[in-house]
Amino acid sequence: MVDWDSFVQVSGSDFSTGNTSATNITGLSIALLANSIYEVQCALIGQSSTAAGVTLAISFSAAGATGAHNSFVALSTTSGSSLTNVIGTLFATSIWTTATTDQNIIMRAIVKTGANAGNVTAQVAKTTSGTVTIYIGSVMKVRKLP
Amino acid sequence: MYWDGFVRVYGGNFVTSSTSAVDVPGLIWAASANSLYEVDVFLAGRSSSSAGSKADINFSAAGATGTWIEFEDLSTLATFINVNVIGTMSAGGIWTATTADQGLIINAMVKTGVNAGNITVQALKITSGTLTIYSGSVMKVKKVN
Repeated sequence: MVDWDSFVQVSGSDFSTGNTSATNITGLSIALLANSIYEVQCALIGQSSTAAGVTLAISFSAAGATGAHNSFVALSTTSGSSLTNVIGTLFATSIWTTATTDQNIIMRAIVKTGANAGNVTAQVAKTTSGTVTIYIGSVMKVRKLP
Repeated sequence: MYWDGFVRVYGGNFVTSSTSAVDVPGLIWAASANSLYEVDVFLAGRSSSSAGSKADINFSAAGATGTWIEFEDLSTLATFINVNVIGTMSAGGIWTATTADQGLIINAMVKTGVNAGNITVQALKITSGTLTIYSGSVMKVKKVN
C-alpha cells in the first residue's frame, strides 16, 4: 500500500505569529535528500485574529529545488477555493478571513530537489496585521517518489 | 499506515430521499473530547435529479470547531469547492448531473471540545428525488492531537 514515509506535527503549544512575511511554522519541517522528488501534504487548522486573513506556502531551504504547492482552502467559513504557487512563494490570496474562527486547509506539493539536500517547511504570513495561530496537531506528511 | 483507521458504507448502497441532513450509515467514528482529528472522505454516488444533493462532516456533541472542505463534481463537466463549519451544509449542491456516477472528496480538521462524540458524514437530497451513496465509500480518520 502506498503510504506516507513520515510525518511531523506542531507540538508542545500552538504556533502563533504576527509576521507579515513568510515564517516557518515550528515543527512542520522535514529533511529531504538531493536529486529527489517528494509528494508533500499538510493538514492545518487554526485561525486569524482579523478578517484580513493569512497566506501560506510550502518552501524548501536549499537552492535548486523546483515544484509547486496547491491547496483546497477555506477562504472563510462559507467560501472555498483552490490556490497554487511555486514552492517558496506565498499564495497571492488570503485565506481564513472569518476572524477568530477555526478554519482549515489541505496543502499539497510536489518538491523536486536539485543538487542540494535541505528541509521542506510549511510557512505562514499574517496579512496586514494581527496574529495567525496554527494549532497543535497540525501535520505535514512526505512521501519520496520511487 | 498513517491513518488510525477507516470506515465504509457496506452491505449495500445507501439511498435517501431526505431533504434534511441524515447520517450516512457506516461513516461514523467515535472521537474523544479535547482532541484534534484529521478526516478524509471519498464518496461515490449519484443524484436522481438535477437539483443535486449535499454532504458535510458533522460532530454529534456540542463544542466542536473547524471547517470541512469539499472538492466535488458539481456536474460531470464542472468541479467546485464547498466549505462550511462542522455540522453545517454548504449553500451549494453537488452531483447535479442526473443519474451520472460522480465523486466527492471531503477533508476536515475536527477540533472537539469538552464533549466526546461521533464524527459522521451527513448527506441530503435537494428538493426531491433520491441520493445514492455507493457501498465502499470511505472515511479515513487520524487523531493528530
